[in-house]
Amino acid sequence: MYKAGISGKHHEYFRENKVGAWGVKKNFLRTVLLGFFTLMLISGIARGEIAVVLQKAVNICLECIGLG
Amino acid sequence: MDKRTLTQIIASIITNANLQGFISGRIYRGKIKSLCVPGLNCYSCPGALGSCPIGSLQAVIGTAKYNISLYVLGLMGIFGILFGRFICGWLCPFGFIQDLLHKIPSPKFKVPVKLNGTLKYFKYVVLSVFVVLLPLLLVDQLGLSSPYFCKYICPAGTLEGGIPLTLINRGLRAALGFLFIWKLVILLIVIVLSLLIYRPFCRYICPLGAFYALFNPFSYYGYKLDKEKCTGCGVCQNSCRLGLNPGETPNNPECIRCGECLKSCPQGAITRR
Repeated sequence: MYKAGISGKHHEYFRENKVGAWGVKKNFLRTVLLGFFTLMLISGIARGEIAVVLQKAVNICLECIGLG
Repeated sequence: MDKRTLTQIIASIITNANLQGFISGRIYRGKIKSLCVPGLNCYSCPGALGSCPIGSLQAVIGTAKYNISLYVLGLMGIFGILFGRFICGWLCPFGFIQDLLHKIPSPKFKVPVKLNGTLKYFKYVVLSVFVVLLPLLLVDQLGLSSPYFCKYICPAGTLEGGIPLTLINRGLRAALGFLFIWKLVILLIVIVLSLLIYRPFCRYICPLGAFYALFNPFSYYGYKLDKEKCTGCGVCQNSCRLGLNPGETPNNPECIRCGECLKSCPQGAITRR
């Protein structure tokens, strides 16, 4: 049930807290991805994408409503 | 009224709080419109205060300056990591509309497992082809392209933007043509299907749902199954209107976190993580 990679005192901790190897990987993966997407967001803002989004959003999108 | 319906009402009102727009026939033009909302909500809806992430993504891809939108993808990714498809079930205004339609008394059908298993992949095709590839590759001489998903598929744009704006605005009404009829037909199909089956657009077409589905297995908001408590009775599977089996995969990419399995489990084996 508890795979290799989690051993010794960590093994005990994870068993008591019902956290498996996938649980550890999952926590790591989402933390890394959260950081990655935050960096993407900041980079997008820095290169001025917000202005493009705003420009599109404050004018009626003719394609969206079926006229364009 | 249950907690989810109340949350859906509040989220839909907050997303479309520019009520004045429905009377004047004008859309909101404030600076907060540069912020994308988590759910599918057309930014040409007279009430919309924020931007549709799918519309914004295509808008940025469709410019000559940028090939991909780091801002929109970053924001969508953060929403996905934090909430997964909880957004579909609790916060998306177009999802709420489908829930309301499904409450109208009419014959209800469950999609056969095999058909459901095949059709669910169509939304990934919509995401990759209509939202990313076509706006990226099908450009004019100036390097600009159309938002192909919004233009040819999105029924939310027709319902939330097209219909109210053309009803109020005579100038726009005069410009109606084949494209509007095409989009109206798609909207009518989605409405009729929503009466008969649960959330057809979210399950088979929505590109935003497809994007969030990628994060569902490991998003911060999710479900956990206590295998010691689970007796395998199948009550959760019968209660799931999406045809999923939470007793096997509580964090299925297709799960919109409606919470019916949590409520129905007699052992309390499924909980929020």
